[in-house]
Amino acid sequence: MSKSEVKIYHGAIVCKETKIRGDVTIGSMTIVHPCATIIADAGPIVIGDGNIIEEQVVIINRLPENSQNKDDISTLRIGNNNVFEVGCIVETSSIGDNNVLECKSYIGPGIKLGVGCVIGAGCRLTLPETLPDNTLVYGKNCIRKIISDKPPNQNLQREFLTKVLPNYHHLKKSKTAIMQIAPQ
Amino acid sequence: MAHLSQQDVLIACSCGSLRPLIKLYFCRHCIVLRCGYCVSQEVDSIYCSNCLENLASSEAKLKKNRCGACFDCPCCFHTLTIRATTISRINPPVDGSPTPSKTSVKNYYLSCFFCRWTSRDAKIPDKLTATSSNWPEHENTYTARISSLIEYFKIITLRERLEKENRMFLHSSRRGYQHFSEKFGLTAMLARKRAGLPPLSLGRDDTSTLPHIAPSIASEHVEPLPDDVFTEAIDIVKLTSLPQRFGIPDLQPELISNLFPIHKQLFIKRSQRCRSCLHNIFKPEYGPASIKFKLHLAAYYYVPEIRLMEKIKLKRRQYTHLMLKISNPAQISTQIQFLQFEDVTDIVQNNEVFNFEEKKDDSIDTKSITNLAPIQKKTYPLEKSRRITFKTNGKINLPDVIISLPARDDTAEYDEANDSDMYQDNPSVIVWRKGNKVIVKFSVIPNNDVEDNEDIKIGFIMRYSYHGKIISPLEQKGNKDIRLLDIKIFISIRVCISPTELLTSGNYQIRTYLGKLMS
Repeated sequence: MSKSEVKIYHGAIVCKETKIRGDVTIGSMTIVHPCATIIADAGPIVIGDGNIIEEQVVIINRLPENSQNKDDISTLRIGNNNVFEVGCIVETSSIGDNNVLECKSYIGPGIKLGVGCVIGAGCRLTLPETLPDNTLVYGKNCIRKIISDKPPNQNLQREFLTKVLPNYHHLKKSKTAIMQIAPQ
Repeated sequence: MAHLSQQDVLIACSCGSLRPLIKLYFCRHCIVLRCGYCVSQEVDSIYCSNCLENLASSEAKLKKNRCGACFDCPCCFHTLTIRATTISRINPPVDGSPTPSKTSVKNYYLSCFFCRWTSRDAKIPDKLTATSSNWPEHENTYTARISSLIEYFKIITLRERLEKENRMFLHSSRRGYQHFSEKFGLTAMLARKRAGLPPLSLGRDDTSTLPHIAPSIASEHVEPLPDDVFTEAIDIVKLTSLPQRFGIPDLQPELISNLFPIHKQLFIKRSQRCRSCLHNIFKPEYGPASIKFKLHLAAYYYVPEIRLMEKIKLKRRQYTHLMLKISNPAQISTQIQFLQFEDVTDIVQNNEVFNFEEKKDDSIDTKSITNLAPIQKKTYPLEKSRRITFKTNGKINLPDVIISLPARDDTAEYDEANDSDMYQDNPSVIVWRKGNKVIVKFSVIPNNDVEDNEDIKIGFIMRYSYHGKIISPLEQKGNKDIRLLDIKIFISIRVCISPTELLTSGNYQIRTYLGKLMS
């Protein structure tokens, strides 16, 4: 697959150093740091609007180990306003909106995040399941609870990064000049 | 940090407990090692680790050793922070203006950044100011009962103390009593006392002044279980864990929603004092924000450090080379010698092992320093020295050399010059030398009865010269005082014994080692 398949919508900040492979769509106002890795091997990755993808984050749409069938295409869909903090690894197939994946967390294949979930720093989720909305996973033993608060709004951080990142990095040009609504 | 807390090399404290070097103190006055067990711990200051407020001990006692302003999360026990949200409120339309005006108000609530618990979960109303005080407190239903019990026991302790003092007064016969007899007319009582008779009651019976406390009554009445207890599925996410319940002992809530912020526990700064000479050996600066020390007699400033250089594989019935890196942390050069435990008794008598340029001043002896405060000494019971429980199952061959190590010099690290020519080292013993560090080659053989995969434990004595320089009234001359200190070293080598594996030559190991050092 070539890099030409990368679709970046207007207003997204994607640094040139970012490793992107395969059919990747990045929605508007999404920020991808230079050392992030997005690899779409098994199928396309669609990232919505207003996400922050920090350094050392790996988002992989990986082929399942047992299936050799290359035609078995599944799309990794990531909603809007999610935060992927430094060093988290995502191998799941679906992430909703307003989720926070804290530093060094890991989400294995088959785990579906709903809305407003927080995966705490260093927590590893490996068994396939669907997390209910507003689930929090925290601590060494991955204790779960439902939180009443929404994760904090990331608008300020996003605005700051939109200003700062272009000053120090070359950006990938967005392919579609016209303002478009990112696919959900 | 891992290299600091290495547990492979243990040192026997003067009380007999085994500790790594970093956990030992060194009393400069007694010139012995001390550990946390054999020093007296004193509370210097009480402070809150979050707001760094310093509290007097009486105030801390009044507040039950908790900070009034800071809170811990009742869910995960991390510190709660105050978080602000902006809430826009629609004001009712004022006369004259047709549209309702909007004002935004800042609200503050407590929130935990780790587990995202908020004071809103506990249904604590938000506050309009960011000040950290005046959060609502939950009232303990048993406050009155507890305070009445405390009052009761306070009176009892007071009375017991009085009785004790009276008894002491009874036994001390030399005290003057003239003023008593004049003032209170106590002559009769004192006469009885002198005669050894029990004192007469003054008519005021103290037992009558004790406050009445209601004894607690056991009740047979137990609230029945709710009807749905067997039918409703348990939602584990909503239930509290035992640590969470015990975190709030007066509430002990069963549901997460009933948790309440816990006042933060206060911290103390401790200073350590040697129990035999009563000198401070460790004293932090008073202020809670400071991390410096007024006095810091840690052993790693005075005792040469021994470190295992690499993992080795031991073989049965074969000597294997063991590399130990020894560094001198002191500001004065030292000389080191290694001894077996068996040797020590006879070598002590023959003290001419070292040839020092300066002669040892015999006029200063340790005993005179330890006798500084014989009266206060009573208050510090000395730790009974225990037997060292470290069973060696290997034997170490010690090189018969005296190694001189120069003083620590921080600039030497950047010095490229090789100063090993300055010392006439035996290259078969001293493998490498730089600055105040030296690598010495030993050889180790496990005992024959050692099982496979068992740690090999060896022990020896490191005798080194300590240049004490204590300025004290006893030492008017200010002479440099040189002593030989014996430090018992115990090393456990966490390497399995492989009976089948071939012997790797010691020379090869040294070569790889030097290669590593060069690179």
